[in-house]
Amino acid sequence: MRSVRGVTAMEDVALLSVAIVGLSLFVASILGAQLAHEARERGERLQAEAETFLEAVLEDRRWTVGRGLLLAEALNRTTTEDVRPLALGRPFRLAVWDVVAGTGWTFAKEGGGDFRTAATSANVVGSRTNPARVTAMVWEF
Amino acid sequence: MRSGFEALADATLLVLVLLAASSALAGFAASPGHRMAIQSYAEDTRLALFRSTLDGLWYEADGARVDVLNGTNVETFLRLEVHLLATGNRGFDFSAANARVADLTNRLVRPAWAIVIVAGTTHDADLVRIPDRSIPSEHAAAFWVYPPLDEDGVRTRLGIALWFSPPR
Repeated sequence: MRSVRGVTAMEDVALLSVAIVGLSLFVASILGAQLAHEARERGERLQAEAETFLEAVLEDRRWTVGRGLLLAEALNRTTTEDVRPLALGRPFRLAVWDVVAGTGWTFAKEGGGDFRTAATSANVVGSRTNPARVTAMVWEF
Repeated sequence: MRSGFEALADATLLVLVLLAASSALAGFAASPGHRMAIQSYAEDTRLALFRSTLDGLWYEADGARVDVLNGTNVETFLRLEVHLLATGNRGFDFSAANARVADLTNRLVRPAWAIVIVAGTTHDADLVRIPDRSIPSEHAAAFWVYPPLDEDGVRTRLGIALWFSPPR
């Protein structure tokens, strides 16, 4: 003999189970989405800071004679402490590579955690004007 | 029995609603990816390349070697090359100098990036491509138009096409 109440209870249990599983997945997806969104925003912020740092280097009149025209002689005199304020308080690495002479300048106070890189083309001006790659990195902490 | 089917239908509907909401959230979280400022990189690369100076450039004109002044920048040399080629005279050979420029260009761009210098007049199709290769449809370009080198000449158009080309 089938109990009507028993059948109804079984149906309720089934519905409740589906609801619990569904809600659990939903909450997990909310948390996952939030974490992914925050990670993306943090990365984008760091990338923007790397690009700002790079742009500041390319325009700093202590070692340039115009945007992207870096003076070899001035770079020889430049120290890591000179570059540090441009990195907005982040740990950083700045590398300028003269691709013809095969020489470069590196200024670094590296940190930890996540990091982002911005790079572009420029010139190193000495006895000639050579093409150069400039790479700026910033770390999270 | 009927209420059992209703419960099943409700449960299915609930799951569908939650799945739709989850998909919307996944879309919200999906990263569009960091869009590198490729256009800005192309413009910086064009400037860096064209401002660079080279010594010992030369070309042939009707079999005779013509030396270009030391310290001539790539931009000036390419303008001269286009100016001469635009005359239609087939006696010019710029291959040695173009190879020097190609070498400089390849050193300049970052690994996994490909570049082609494109030069011509504003009237004609491209007269020069360094290196001579096709350009994919997905690329960033940076160009500049220059006045003629003489009164009768045509305007010159110099630029680069740049694209991401990781090794396979």
